[in-house]
Amino acid sequence: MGSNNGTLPGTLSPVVFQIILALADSDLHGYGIKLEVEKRTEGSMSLGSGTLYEAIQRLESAGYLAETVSPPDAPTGARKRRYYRLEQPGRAALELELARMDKIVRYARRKKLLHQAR
Amino acid sequence: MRLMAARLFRVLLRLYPRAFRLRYEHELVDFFHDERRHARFRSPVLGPLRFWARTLWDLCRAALRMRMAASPPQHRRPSQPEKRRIGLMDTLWQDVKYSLRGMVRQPGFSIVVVVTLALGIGANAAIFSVLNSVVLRPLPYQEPEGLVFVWEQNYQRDVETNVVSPANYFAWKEQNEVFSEIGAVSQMSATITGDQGPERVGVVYLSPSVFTMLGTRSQLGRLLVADDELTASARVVVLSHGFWQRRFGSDPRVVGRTVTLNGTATEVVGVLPRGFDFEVPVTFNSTGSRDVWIPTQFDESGRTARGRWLQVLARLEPGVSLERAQSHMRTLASRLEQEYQESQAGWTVKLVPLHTQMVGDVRAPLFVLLGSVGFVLLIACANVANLLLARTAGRQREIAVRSALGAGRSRVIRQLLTESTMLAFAGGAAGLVLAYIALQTLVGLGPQNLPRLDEIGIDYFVVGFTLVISLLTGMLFGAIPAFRVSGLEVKEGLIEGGERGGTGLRHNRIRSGLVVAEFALSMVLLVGAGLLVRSFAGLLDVDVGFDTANVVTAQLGLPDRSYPEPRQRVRFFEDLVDQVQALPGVSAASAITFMPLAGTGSATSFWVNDRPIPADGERPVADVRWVHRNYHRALGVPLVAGRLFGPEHIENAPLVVILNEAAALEFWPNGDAVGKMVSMPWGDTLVAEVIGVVGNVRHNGPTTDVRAKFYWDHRQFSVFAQMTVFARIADDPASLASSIRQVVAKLDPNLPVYNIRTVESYYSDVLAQDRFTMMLLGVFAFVALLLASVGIYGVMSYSVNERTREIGIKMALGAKASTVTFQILRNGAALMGIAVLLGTGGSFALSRLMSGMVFGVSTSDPITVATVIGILATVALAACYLPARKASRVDPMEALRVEYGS
Repeated sequence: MGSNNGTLPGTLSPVVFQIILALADSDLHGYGIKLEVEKRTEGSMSLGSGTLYEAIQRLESAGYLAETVSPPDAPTGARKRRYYRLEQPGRAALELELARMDKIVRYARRKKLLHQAR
Repeated sequence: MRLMAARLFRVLLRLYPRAFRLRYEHELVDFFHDERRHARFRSPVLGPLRFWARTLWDLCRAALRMRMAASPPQHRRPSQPEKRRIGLMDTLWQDVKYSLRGMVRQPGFSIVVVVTLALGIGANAAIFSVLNSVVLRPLPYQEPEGLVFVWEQNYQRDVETNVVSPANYFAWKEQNEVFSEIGAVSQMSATITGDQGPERVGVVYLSPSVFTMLGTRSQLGRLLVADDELTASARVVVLSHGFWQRRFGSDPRVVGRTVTLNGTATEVVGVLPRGFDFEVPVTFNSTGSRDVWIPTQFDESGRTARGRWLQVLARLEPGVSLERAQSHMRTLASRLEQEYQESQAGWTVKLVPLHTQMVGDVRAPLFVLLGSVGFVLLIACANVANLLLARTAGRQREIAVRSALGAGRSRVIRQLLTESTMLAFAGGAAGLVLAYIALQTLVGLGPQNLPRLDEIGIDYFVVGFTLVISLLTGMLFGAIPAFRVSGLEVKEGLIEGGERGGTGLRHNRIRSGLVVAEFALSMVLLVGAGLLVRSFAGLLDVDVGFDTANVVTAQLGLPDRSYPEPRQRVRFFEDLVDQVQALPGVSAASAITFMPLAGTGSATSFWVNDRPIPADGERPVADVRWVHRNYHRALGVPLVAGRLFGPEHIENAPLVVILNEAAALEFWPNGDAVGKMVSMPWGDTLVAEVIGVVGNVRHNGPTTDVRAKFYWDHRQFSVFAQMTVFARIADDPASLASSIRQVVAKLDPNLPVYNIRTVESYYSDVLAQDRFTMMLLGVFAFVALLLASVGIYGVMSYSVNERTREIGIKMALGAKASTVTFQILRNGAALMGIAVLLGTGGSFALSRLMSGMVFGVSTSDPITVATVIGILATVALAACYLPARKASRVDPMEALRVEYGS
């Protein structure tokens, strides 16, 4: 579990990282995030509602995510769902994290620990 | 069901911190629905199970994390008095975390324990839900505790509750001083005609005050008002919500429209709210539903003392107790009895609270079921305690180390109790899910005549109940090992090999005691289930008086408008029976006013001519039925003496009557009933000659007594405009249903046919409640037996393992394998013997409770007890056999090496 005081310093926890990544290119509602993460990780990460919204609550209070109006193409259900948008601090944290990962990957390649991407 | 799942989930959301729940509740529920739908889509059977397991696991984990994060104790600087408290909370969290880790580390053990507990707790939660919804939850009416049914009671004929005559209802209404309101109600059926074709609908006739008493409000238009009861008023009707949706497509403009009911133009004045219903205890030729609600209207001739058909609902005046009202009404009744000897002799009044009226019959079986699931839970607890004992025996070193490092006795006990409580809560959560699944099945299988069946569900009360029994369960099975282990000497646990040497006899005695308790409890349950099975088999063996197989029935009521003359009605039914008889595949057809096994009937008083006429109120009473002349032949009711109706018994011929055997024996014990004359005061006194005696038919099912019965040929005189037509066929009943409809439509296109059902389906309804109780108790007894045999197997194999060395030495000294096997089996048999002694005592106590539930079997039936003992002994010996065989194969060298090798 990452830190819980709202500032999320350092590396992001896998759950948080995947949520932010899922929101990088489109606004989604909770279940949409779950499906996106499941697809991206090929089913190896399946978020339960409690875990997901616990993370969303922390990300919201840290200003990483914000609630947004549902996009016009969203299905109209009985009740409007809350969609989430990635905010600037969240995007910055994601970029930081990706850069850190990129550095590690490049280092691993140099060390011949990792073969060229398929 | 979707709603119930969501409700359960919402309740579980309470585990989250309040702020989180308030913010995300809707999203969490949406998420829940989406995921549930997907899970079901992927796999309809396993999907929901996996889904629930995942959801619960995720929910508990996330909630625990959030709650722990919300109050990190190390961040506070407590003042001195607070320190102790926080210390306690702190160690509690420590214990919780430690227990969770332990559970995850030993998944096999945890799963066995949780599944065992889930079975016990789930069964309890399910039965408690039923009890809660049916018996405990208040009825959905305004101040229902003040409402009573007022019945007539006949103390001479032992009739506890009888429908009420209009004259008495009005006398009570005008003269009572104990009711603030009183109203009459009765349920029948009527034909509605109009654009959508004819339909038979359920009609409730009621005083407008009944709606006031129940606190009902209209959804559309108005309900009934006092003026609607006046005979001069226009005919009005209120529609039930379901009927309004079905027949009128929820059209709000229905108010003010005119519908034709039994040929009379009637104005729709309102629609009842969704979900409102009021079950009328006694119904006459009912369709089973309550579609239209019509005010009763009594003119002078309607207020008669002849003919009892009303049911009376009243609200007690505030401050008046049931006893006071009862004695007041008794006084009133005896005054009426003196005043109107002719109609009132032998009659008094009985009050029954509305709640008792509605659920009285199912209380006892439900409490017996709750008791039996309580036993299942106790057995589950005993098994889990055994498992924990075995495990704590293996953990003595760990505990000794902790004690050595300074953990006090109470600290160790607390840790062990926390562990067992956590296990119990996990079992409780799984049990709740199990209960939810079981309830879906139960509601599907449950008898349709179980009151309030549609209200059954899981609510906060059930969840609270489950939490409490989980907590108690955890304490119960946790206490034994906790106190056992914490009493050990530190040194004892720490010496090498201590876990083998220290467990000893005392340990085994506790475990054996638990197994004995399990078997004794199982035996009680098995005896209970056995009694119900025997009783039910007895019910099936009872001859209801005719062959119930392959008979299709259909009900019809002729409206007065189109068939004002009795002769027209007779003509219609004669034609109908002839045409049904001519249908392909029909071997016999006939008709009767009240079909056996289908519910209500009619009865009247009579006397035998040539004997002194008894005084009013002391005259014998017989059931009366009007039949088509072919009735007894078609249904297969045997002729005992005399002859059956023939073509000569027409309208103006001398009146004749056929009796059943019960009537013939009661009044002519010498067997010479045929040829005698009887009189029946029906309008004018009717005098008829007995021409035949037929076999008894149990009209209300196998458990009821056979009453005297008179059969009249409907051609001679008929009073009812409705009859049930039936046909016996060789093959498919479904095809016959549509043929009957076609025949009726040809005779009268405006006439609806209703309740097209087989006699067997009526019969199965009659038996439904008994079958339901028997099935449930059977399932619980089976689960109990299963758990108990797992228990005895565990204890025996544990003791064999423990005594490997002893057995090894014995065999090294020349003991034969068969001797060893025998010894283990003998140990098992000794435990069984004690269990049987205890269980026999227990079953006698239980059977006393069940005396009202069994039929034709003594509650201390020796055959049942002997069979159960046989089953138990077989199962227990089988469970002991495996460990015994293992013991006989102990290699002496191997056993000794294990002991000294390390």
